[in-house]
Amino acid sequence: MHYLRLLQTYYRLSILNELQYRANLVMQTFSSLVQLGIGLAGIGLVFYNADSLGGWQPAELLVVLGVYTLIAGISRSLIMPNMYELMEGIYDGKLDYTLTKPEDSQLLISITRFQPWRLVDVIVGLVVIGLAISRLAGTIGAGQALVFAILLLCGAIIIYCFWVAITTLTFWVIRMWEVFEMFEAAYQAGRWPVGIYPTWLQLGLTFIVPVAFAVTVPAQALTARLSLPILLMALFVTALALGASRWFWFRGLKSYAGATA
Amino acid sequence: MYSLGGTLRQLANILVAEYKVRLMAGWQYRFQQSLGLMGLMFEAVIYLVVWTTVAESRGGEVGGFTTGELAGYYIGWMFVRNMTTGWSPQWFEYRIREGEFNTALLRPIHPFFPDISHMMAGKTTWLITLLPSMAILAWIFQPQVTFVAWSLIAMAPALILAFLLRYTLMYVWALTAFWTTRITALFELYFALEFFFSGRIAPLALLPEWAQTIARYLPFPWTFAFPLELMLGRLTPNETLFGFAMQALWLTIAVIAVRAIWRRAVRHYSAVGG
Amino acid sequence: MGPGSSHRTSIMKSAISARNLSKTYIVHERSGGLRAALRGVFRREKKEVEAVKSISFEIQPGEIIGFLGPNGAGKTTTLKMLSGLLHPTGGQGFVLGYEPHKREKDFLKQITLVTGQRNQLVWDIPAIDSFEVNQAVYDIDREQFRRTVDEYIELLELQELVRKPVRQLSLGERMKVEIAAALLHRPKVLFLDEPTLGLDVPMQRRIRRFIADYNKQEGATVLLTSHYMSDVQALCKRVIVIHQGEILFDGQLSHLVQQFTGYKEIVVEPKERGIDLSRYGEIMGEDAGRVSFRIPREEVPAVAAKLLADIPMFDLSVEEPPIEDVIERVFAGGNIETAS
Repeated sequence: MHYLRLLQTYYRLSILNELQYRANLVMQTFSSLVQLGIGLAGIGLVFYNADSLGGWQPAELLVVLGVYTLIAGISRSLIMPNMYELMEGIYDGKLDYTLTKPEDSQLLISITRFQPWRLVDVIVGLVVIGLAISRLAGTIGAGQALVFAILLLCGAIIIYCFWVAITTLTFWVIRMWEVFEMFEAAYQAGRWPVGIYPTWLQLGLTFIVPVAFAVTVPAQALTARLSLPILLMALFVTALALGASRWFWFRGLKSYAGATA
Repeated sequence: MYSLGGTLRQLANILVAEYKVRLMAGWQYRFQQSLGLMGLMFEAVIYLVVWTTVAESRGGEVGGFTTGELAGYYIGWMFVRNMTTGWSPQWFEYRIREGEFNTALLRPIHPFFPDISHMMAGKTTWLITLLPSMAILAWIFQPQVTFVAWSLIAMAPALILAFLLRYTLMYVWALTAFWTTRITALFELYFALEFFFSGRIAPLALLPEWAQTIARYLPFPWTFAFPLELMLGRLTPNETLFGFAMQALWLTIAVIAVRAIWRRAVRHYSAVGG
Repeated sequence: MGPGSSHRTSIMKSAISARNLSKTYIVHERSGGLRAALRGVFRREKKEVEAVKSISFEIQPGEIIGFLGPNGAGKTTTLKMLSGLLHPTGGQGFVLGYEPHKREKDFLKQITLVTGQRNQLVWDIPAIDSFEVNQAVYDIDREQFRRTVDEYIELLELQELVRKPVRQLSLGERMKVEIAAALLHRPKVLFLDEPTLGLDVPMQRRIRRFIADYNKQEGATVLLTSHYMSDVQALCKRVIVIHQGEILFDGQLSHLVQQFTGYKEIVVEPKERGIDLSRYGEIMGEDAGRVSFRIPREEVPAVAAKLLADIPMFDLSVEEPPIEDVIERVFAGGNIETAS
């Protein structure tokens, strides 16, 4: 149908563009492995010094690491390139070209750029999760896997909404570069289960920078820590985020168009 | 031909002039720049919490650090991290694209020096936000530190050398931006090694023995953990002397590396153009 | 004492000397489409591009030379080679006795390069503050620096401009302060790459005058590239025309016109409009009642006489063709009509 074809057009363009840079795949794989190495070494160091981290066992922390890597892959291949492009487009006026197109503006700014090589992280994340599950005591039932997949999708959507909202701030703020840097750094907190952080920080990591919903909650689904209230909350927050970010986007657009009129 | 005193005086003038100008320029963006600082601080808080959790599961201590001492480590961490930042290859890539290097190459001074001033100006702006932030975090995490007078005094030169060493090493990497944008992967590996062996992810004492031994012979601890541990008064005089020796050694190596790479970088740049 | 002494004595006279200067780039090529893109992942096609093909010229101290040529002709590449930013792939260049690519300190202190990009000045602060950096970098005597700054501020009318952050200035204002900054250390050789590009006419004139005055006062050598004939006509007696990396012409501007075109322009303002005058010669255009003819040089006296005799008119004038036209014809390639 129409939207699928739109997606296909834009993604195909991005892929064509990226194929020029043959070294990128090698680089990305190398980079993903380095990041994985850091994650594993970090977990290793923790368990060199202790038996558990806030009640989480090594294999369970591997699940967290796997989910973190997976979400990072989705974010860096599908979401972030568009956000950076949007930020630049607002500053140098190129956004105007997008706005003259007869399609939903939020859709357009979300699909123009796709960096396929970064999907390597998704593969790495899945492999790590697979390995971690094989080491966990119980087995994963189909129901659990389904819930996990749903929560993963919710997590990705929430992250997307978060970044749309942050990037929308560019309409008002002269220099967003450091804001981006700051939030990207905050994500590192997702390498570890948010339960270990002090309460005030947990709240921030749930409602301000949605690390909890993106990483910890899906990981909880696979490590038998998920409760129904949390699952429902995740679904609710996803819906809320979609609505709120869309509303905010159009607010920003109104102020932008008003300024140049 | 040229008197050493004259050249030093001229160099000092250039450093000061560049510093003033960059401070002025950066001042207008001090708020935004401070947000970048927050990013750095996140890392410290994350690992402070991780190791505190570990310590608490062991009865309150890990690697010779109590939870209070861990808090002291990671708050001091923020200060040392700020003071030892250097230029990234991404920044140099940006400058090359903007044509800034043409201007730099046309000037009768090696860009290494005004770049130091530029970096110091950035640090100055950060300090304005850093110090209050450290105070707030100290109030939240209740650090325990016993300052030792001579150790604190020794920290000053150690910090300066740590900065120069790290700055120079990063400069070598940054110069690779002249050849290729492909070096990012290797740089990431370097950064990862530094993350572990410099004392950033955890105090070095938490590393396995073999890792600590390796670390001593790498430049990393001398760019970070050394001044930090001096600040906290955790080193013996012998260890301190060893540290200074390593700093001097690695700084010499780094300077030689920069000179060699610079020549190649310019040659490549002038073959291909800006 | 000095750089490469033996070289120095032999080219002591020229300020700028180019001997068979060449520059070749290697470029990666790719055709369109997905299959070609995939192929490109495994095999790259390389192509050599000769930007500058063995050009030679000598420029004496104090000359102002105009470098003319279409985009991509090799002008900027040559300028970059002579200022030391690019390493020649063949031949040699000498500026003030130095080999530019060696980038010796004493060489750099005597030259300056001004391009359209952001050059000297820090974007977010007033130019007057950036000037201080130049004073330090070029080790300019403080007294002399003060005097130079005051002089330039007056000549270029920068009083208010130097106190505003550079990013708040218009393009023309920015160019003025950039040029001022570029000349603070009173260099002996100026490389100016399109210094008046995008500026309005009064601004162009002011900058032109500044350069001319500077040249006269300092005896500096100026190598100037420009799209605007008015720049070249106002400042340069001698021009060097570059096309596709080769020198097509090196000499007086007036000779350029004569050598490259066998035509002159006759402009007639007849009293009666609407008459068909095409039998007198090739009509180039009509503008506000004035008709321009393109007439071969030898026939000009005859045609002019006939027009004067036949047509009642307000005015008749004989002109050289506009230099833009001349240059365009030169670059059209091969179409060089010489005076017979």
